[in-house]
Amino acid sequence: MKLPENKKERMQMLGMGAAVGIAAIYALVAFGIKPILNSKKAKETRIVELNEEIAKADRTINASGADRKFNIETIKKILAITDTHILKPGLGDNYQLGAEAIVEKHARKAKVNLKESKFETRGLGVKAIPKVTNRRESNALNFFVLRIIIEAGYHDVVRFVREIESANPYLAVVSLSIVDIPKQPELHKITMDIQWPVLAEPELDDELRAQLKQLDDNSETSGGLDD
Amino acid sequence: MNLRADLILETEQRSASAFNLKAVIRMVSVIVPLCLAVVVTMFVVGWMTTGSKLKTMEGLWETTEPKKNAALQLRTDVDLNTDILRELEDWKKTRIAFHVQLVEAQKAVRPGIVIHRLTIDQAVRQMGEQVERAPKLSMTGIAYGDTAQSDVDSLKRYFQKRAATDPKIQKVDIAFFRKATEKDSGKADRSFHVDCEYEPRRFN
Repeated sequence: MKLPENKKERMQMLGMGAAVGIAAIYALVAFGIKPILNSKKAKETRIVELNEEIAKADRTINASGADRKFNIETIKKILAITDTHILKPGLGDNYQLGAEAIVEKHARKAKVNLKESKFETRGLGVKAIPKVTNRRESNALNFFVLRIIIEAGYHDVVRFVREIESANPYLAVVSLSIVDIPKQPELHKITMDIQWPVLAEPELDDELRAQLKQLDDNSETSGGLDD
Repeated sequence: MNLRADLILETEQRSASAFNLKAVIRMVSVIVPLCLAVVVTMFVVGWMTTGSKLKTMEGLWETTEPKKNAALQLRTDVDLNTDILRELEDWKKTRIAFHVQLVEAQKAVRPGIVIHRLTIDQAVRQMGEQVERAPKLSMTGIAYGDTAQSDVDSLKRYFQKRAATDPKIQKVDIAFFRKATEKDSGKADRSFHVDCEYEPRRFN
């Protein structure tokens, strides 16, 4: 293209060309480069975030091997206790029958003559202690109390209490009253409340077993606990 | 008077200046778009590379996130189960096996004393923020004859001596020691009540 001869016209044309050029560059920057830069920056930020999240997740995942092992051990300990020392409900959520059977077994072991000792039992029901957990909404354990009323000698009572307490370190003789019987100095009237912890939600037992099974299955499929 | 004879045609005229505007415009009109094209290409390539890297990272995150969530769930389970185990152990830790205390109570009673009533209490209670058992053993009885005071005092001291043993006895207190009012009581006979408080045992 030939530039005009006239200097003024030539300068005008050049000026216009420069203006168009600057406008084109501005348009390119504003509508092309800047959105690309913004998008790139956003992507880079997300990449940094993802990198951090993945690194953090990796640390969590790496620790889960130890967690899995610890959880298996913890569940096994809980189940070992609940299987042997926690009172289980019978039909209709009846705890009394199971408690009576345990008490009678220990009375016989302690050689307390159940027929002669006017042995009576009474269930005082399931109750809750104040909340002792901070991690759950309510306690995992409530308690059931069985009242035993018996007439027996002091040594018989001591043997009986020892039998019961030694067999189960989780129960408590929560109250005991030994009162003399004036006409029978060798006998005492004993009123004893025995407190067993019971699961607040009996299905917890099954839930823990399911959790344990899942953990065992995961260990097998992942080829070991430390994966 | 000067005469300038210009025999060169206008189209044949060349500028003697080192600055040739036309050439500069031509160069600028080629170099600037070329530079712009290079810069834009670099931006686009960089943008596409970043996009591809982001896709790779997102793919990695998609496989990592469920594993992380499972690990977090496992941690929650560990915390909850540890809490259940602790609660179970608290039931064991807080109770006193009272058969030992019953044997001790018998040892502590001298022949001049008759215990009419012995009680034990270790109910769980809330004291402020704490949930605890505050075990207590109480004895009510009669001490006979002139040795009544020394016999009851000896009973108190027996338990006080055991204060350092486990379970720890925190306080031994004679709630009352007074003249016995029972029918067959002698002048020197005394009825008494002794409370033996054990150190509270806390849940949690």
